Amino acid sequence: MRRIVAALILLLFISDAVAQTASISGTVTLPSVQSARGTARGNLYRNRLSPAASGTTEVAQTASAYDDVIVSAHPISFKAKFAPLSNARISQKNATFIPHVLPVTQGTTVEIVNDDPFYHNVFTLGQGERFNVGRRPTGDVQVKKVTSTGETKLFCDIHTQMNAIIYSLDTPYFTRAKSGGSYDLKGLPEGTYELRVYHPNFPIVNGRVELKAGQALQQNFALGESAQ
Amino acid sequence: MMQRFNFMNNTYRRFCIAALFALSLPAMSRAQLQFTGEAAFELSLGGTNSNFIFNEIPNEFRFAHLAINQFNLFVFAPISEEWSLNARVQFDIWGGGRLNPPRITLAAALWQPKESPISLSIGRFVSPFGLYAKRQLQSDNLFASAPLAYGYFVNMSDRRGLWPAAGQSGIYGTTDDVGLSTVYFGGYTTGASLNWILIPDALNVEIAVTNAALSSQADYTNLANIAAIGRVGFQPAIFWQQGISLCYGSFMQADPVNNLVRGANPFEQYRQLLIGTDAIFAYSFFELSGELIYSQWTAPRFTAATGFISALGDANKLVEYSVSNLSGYVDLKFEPPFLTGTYLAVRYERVLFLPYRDARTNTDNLGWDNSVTRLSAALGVKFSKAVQAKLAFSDQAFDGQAFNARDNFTLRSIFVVGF
Repeated sequence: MRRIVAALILLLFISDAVAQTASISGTVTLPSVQSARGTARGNLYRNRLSPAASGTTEVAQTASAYDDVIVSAHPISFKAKFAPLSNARISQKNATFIPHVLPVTQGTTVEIVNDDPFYHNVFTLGQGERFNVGRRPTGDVQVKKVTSTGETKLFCDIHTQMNAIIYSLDTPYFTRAKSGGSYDLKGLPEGTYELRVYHPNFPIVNGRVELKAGQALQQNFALGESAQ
Repeated sequence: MMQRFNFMNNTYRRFCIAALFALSLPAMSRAQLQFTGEAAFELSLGGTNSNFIFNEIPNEFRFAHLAINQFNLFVFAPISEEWSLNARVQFDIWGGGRLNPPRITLAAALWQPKESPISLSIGRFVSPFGLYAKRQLQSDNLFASAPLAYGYFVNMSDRRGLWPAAGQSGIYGTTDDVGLSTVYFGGYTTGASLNWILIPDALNVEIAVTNAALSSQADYTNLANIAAIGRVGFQPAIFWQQGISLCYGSFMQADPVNNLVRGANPFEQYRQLLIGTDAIFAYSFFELSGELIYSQWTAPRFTAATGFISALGDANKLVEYSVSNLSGYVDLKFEPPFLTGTYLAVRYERVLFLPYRDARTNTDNLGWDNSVTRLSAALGVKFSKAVQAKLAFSDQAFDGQAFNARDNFTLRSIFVVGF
């Protein structure tokens, strides 16, 4: 009987806590014509031993262009506590980085795995983490800690069409858009936030919102244009 | 290349552009036509003996000069699930050192069903022979120059045949040009090609039927000029990729200079045979790659004094000569792990001309060109996915000649931007 009472009290606390949080949902739209990622020369000048390498266009790297859209909420009125993610992983499969954009929290250790039966390399350029791991055989796992925030751009020196981005955030409140462009950020404490919508091909769109406890805010964004 | 442009006159160019546009129309109506490009800018200088047919720098441009090395526009048009069109429109300073008119170096329809081990290319495409054809864009080439087999002009003209004195007889890209060619010209070929992946990531076969053998400069339309190219590629181990290539076919072309002799001696009968092997060994931050090509030509002989050489007792019949050479290079590339996006590379390469026998005079062990050795070093930096720069130095010498950095060297810096 004591256990049942304790469980009921706990359930009451949890439901109260959920009721105190807010959510933001909406839709992200992308321009109808996206810039192509340079497919023509890649098809013609690379190794022809692999069917994927000779025929896959880079646009096909993601099932939907919205898979690369990351929506994040950055608290302004309070300091968010966040922990490094576990199981953050990028696979090199069929001469493609999967996923193309990996959102992580700052301090996360990312595993980069070669799942192809041929060599891959991983090196970075630009801002963010800097490393070059050389050629790696099948099954090789490289572990890299992401201490910076923002983009770390990954490339493979052997397959020049391959690229990916580790997108490091200083907030625990982020989500990847669904295939139709909709997103849903849940469990946000009351407060003021800066909302950011990221896609590697477009400038970040941001907006400021104030959330009350229990509020369900609707916010739509259009990338490639000014924020709504 | 100027010879090629003479052949490829304005009418022909307009036809090509119109044909490319027509081929693109179905794609434009059904799918997104994708344009990408690559521009390469060059600041370079060469030694006092610089000559385009020798070290790829025309003598008049041997002093430090800035140029547009290449400007490429790539077109990719998916037509259906299985068909697509690929094209490359190219501007460059190849040959004379001045910007040439645009030309379509690649325009191929590609048939490639999803998950199928077979693909088919029809049109003008990257030659399956060897390794370098797939590395000829400045963004893929570790060095600034092409390997000797692709950049060093041998004393074999595709309009005059064997002409041992030709290397000293004309200047490439001018009216004095005598039509010399390289062992492997251009890296593209016209015809139909089949790529069959027998074992994914382990074994593939490419077979092409084309309208000329590899040393031919012209975009032939004469179907009597036919050649076959084949390459078997395999990966014995994850660190080792190997290719074996073969090409056999006609390489000579009709020209006013050979009008008088061609009637009794069809030029289609003169053939080039190439056997090549290429390999890539890679481990960690190192890559060792290279290729070796044996080339044999059968051709008439030409001299400035007497023209084409006829058989004794038969003035109408040209004497057939057989000459050959070996060309190869070895590249070693190192990527410093502490400097991401950079590489250091060195190359050793050589062309060795094998002695030939004069069938007319029964004289053996004759030389027909100067064997040459070249040493190169390059430093490359990738600033972003689409922006990179490289600095390459090379020096070369004929057999018996000492390397002298002031005579034959090239120092080339290339800045490449993709868009």
